[in-house]
Amino acid sequence: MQFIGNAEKMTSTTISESGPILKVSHLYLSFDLDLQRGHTIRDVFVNLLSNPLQSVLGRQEVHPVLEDICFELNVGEKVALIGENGSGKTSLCRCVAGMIKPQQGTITRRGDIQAIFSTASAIHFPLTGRENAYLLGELIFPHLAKSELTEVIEEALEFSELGKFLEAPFYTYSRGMQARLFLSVVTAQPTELLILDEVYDGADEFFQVKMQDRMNKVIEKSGAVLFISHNAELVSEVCNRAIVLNDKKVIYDGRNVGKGLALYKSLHSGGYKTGHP
Amino acid sequence: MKARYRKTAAGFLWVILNPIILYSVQSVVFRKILKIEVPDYALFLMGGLLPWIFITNTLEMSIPYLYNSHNLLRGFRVNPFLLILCQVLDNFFNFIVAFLIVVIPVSFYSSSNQSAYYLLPLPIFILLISIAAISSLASLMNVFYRDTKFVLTFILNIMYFITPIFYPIEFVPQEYRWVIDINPLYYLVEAFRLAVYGHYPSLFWPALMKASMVALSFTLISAIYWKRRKNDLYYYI
Repeated sequence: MQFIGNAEKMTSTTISESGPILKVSHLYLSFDLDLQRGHTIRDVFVNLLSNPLQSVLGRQEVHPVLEDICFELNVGEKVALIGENGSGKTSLCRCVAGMIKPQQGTITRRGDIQAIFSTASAIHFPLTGRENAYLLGELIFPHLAKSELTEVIEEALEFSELGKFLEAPFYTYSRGMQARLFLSVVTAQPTELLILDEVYDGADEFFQVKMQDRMNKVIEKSGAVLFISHNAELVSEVCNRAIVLNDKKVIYDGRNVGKGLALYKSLHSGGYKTGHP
Repeated sequence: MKARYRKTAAGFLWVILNPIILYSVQSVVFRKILKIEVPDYALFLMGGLLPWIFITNTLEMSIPYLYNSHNLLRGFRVNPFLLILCQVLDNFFNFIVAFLIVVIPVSFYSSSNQSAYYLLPLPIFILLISIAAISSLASLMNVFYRDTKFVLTFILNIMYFITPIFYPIEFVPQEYRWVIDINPLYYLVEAFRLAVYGHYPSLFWPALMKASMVALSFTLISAIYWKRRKNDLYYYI
């Protein structure tokens, strides 16, 4: 079991081996709004000289992103996280992955976690696809020994079906090929929690179908998936639970993915404004 | 990570050529042209210049690295500190190889006391820790203040002249010694130099102590800064 979550209102929760994989309780997250105020040392210097009082005493403006988010994830659940752009889906996933810390609330999780937020990046563009896959493997599976890693990555490369393109420099890859390569690597090891954030863009249907099988295999033993996508068809096919985020809060959480999607769609027609289910 | 470039011997030579050429040129210029009167100048310069090049090269490479890896950091769950560490270790490897290539001919021709070479791992270790701390600190700062790299390069250029690297501290008049005394990089370089050049135990151990203090302070500052700002990293890149 691993404990991430922040300090201000930390309550230690223990989860037994058979309990939920992830427990998020009363999570609050906000961003600083004055990111633009000083982006260089020069700015800081100029501000300090031209406006000393304000730059020392200046208050930070904060923009709340998530408020009082609570949910649990159990083995075998494939959860679709649905919401408009900017509703905090990715931020929530980053909190869960331990990349950012929420201002309040606790996140308790059991076991290993793998997350992928974008496939449009490379470790090093001039290197070949194969080399990039190995470097990524070293970074996300640091516990594996060299020989184990080779085995894992070779299997992933085979799964990606990129064939002779693996020896081509990564910058020659199309979006779909990048997605194939990195998705294959990230899902190469069984894990307790898999986070996939809009990762299918560009990957073709054949690969999406293949990935579904693989995703099931990865979480087969004791895992769950958090899945972000705007593709309603794919979501209703893949997922067995939906969480809808709107206006910083969870407005739907249930097994009926279709209902979640319908609710999400109704947000646009203006039928939903109060923020309560 | 850049170790992948070193597929060929020539590629490898390219990487370590920089410190060796820089060293050779300075060695000739200061000895033959400026005629600095220091016994065994080649060894003296090596003891100061190689760690200095290690410091500056590592900083130059690692400072923009976190910001330049924004796609990678946003895309995957990767420990950002690990990325910096790769840069540091990569440069560390270059430093060790460059050192081995230079030290053999230089100490062969020198008459000075070489009995302290076995102590070298100590100052080298301290140097490595300090550089990892400084690099990670500066690299994270560069995410929030994008001109950190220019400011730091500028500072390092000045530091090169006010750190006794190509001249001994004895050349510095007493009234200006305080400039050296407050220079943390000097302590790191000096501990290394005392192990290769003119080893006196009475000087070496205090210097090593001071270098350890410098390493410890940088590590603490860096750790505190990372703890405080790491959360903001993903909003800025």
